Amino acid sequence: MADAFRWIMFLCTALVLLFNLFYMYPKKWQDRKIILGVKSRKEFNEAGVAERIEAIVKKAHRQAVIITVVGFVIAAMLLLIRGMLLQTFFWMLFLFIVIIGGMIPYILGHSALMSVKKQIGLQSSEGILLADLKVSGNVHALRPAGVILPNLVGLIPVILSLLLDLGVIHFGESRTAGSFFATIVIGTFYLMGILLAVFAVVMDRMKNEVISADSDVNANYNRAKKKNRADLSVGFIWINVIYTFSLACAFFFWYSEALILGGMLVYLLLIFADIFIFLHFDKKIEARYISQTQLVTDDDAYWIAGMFYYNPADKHLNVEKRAGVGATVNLAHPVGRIVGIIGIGLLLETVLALVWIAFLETTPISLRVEDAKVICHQLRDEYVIPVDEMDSIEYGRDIKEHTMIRISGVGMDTLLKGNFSVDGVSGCKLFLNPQNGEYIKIVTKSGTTYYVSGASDDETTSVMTALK
Amino acid sequence: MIIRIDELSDVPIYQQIRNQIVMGISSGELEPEEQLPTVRALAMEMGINTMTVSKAYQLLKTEGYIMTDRKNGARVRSMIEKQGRMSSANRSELKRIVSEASLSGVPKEELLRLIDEFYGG
Repeated sequence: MADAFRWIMFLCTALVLLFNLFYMYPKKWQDRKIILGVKSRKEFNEAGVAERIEAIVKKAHRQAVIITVVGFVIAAMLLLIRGMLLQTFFWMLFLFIVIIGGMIPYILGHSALMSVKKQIGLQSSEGILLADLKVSGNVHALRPAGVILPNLVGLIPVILSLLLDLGVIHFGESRTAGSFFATIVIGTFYLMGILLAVFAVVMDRMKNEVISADSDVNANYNRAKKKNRADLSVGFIWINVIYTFSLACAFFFWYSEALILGGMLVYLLLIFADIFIFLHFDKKIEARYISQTQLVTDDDAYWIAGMFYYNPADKHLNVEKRAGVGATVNLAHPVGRIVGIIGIGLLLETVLALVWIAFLETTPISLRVEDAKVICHQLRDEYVIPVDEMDSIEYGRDIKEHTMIRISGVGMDTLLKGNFSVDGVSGCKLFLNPQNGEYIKIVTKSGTTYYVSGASDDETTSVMTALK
Repeated sequence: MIIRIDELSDVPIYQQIRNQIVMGISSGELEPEEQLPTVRALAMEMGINTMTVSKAYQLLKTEGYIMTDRKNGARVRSMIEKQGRMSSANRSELKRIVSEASLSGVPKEELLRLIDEFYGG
């Protein structure tokens, strides 16, 4: 499992690095509508200015190449780290650094380009709104069937898994049947498909851009852009559906965590491939229409560092991203502010989660008998099993002989805590360090099964002796 | 036809929309019976309040430039009533423009040429 995780993180990092380098830092800026977060203007091509723009773009590209190379070297070194905690901590930290560090040349380049604009007397067209009456509300590329059909197909594994859990149907060798674990996992991925459908509709309804006085040019340009976005979203949804089917097969027939994580690796690869296809066509569309662009609404003043859109006069919530794929929110919009706060909250939550994982991994579990009760304790969790409620006690030498699937709780190399399905029996409570082979299986009179162990085999053995 | 709105202008946005649609009809950019976007679509496109667009359309309808109905939305009128005279507001606006041009030294021929250009066929 740790191996698959390591390769998933490596793949994510590698693709983020490559995306940054090839999309955010183009070598050739002449056919780009947005250069380092600044809207391209025809004045940029004038003698004396073009050379300055070229120098800024080249410098940013050079810095990005250095960051990419260093990033790959560090990522390769991180592949050597062993232990789930260290891996999780360093990979997450590194991914943050890659994302933020990868933006530094962009921000510096953006600032330099804005200075050039100021020096040559170019101003943002603040407060100017353009709309093409013949295009307004008329250009859409997303067909409802394009998002409804894959989501209907994706419902099949969810329903099958639910029926399996409810005991209505029986097939395969599902070890999770009855635990609802498979239904929760498959259902979660299915819900992602629904969210992607909503995202597709939002993208399709985004404001049309006015690039020409000719309405046909505007209509064709916006239709091409929206078609590309629709293809990206529909591609995402189908990839998601394929993964829900493969998850269902893994749960129903050949359960293995390695298989699920391997599938995740393929899933990520397909998603990145979908993004790269989108970027390829987006670049082609922009290059195709750059010569026909006569009207430029320069709203650079509303883009903080060329990345965050803040325009109190704009009632739109969604606008096309300048750095990256898809849409971003107007941070001056009330909903945009909430989304921004949630985004910061999620970042903080990730940092706190990493700290919590570190606590979980480094705090040893303890097992003792006190006042005729077995007490399992770690951090804020405590399982108390009164001795007089025990129906049977069994001592085992190797916990790894059992197949344990986490339903809720913590599942790490050094800690299994919470509700698990053990050998197909769901609802078992685990509180053990799987690296210690020895464990005690306790079944209570109420039918609950506990698998517990101490910080060491000696501790487990002494508790077993006390129970006897 | 492209509508250009200046949010920082002293002229209210609904008035700017109304003026540009009138100019579009006069220049032939908007043809008789041509469909206009719905209030909601135009408001969404420009990122402005639907009430603002609705007010502009209402004004255009009252002045007889467009017609609206539930089924077809807003369309340019095929027959715009020709009163054959200028309103007093337009007359005083024209007087202001001609006066400013005169004070700025714009030749009368230039003004007449512009009127010819804007008046159309």
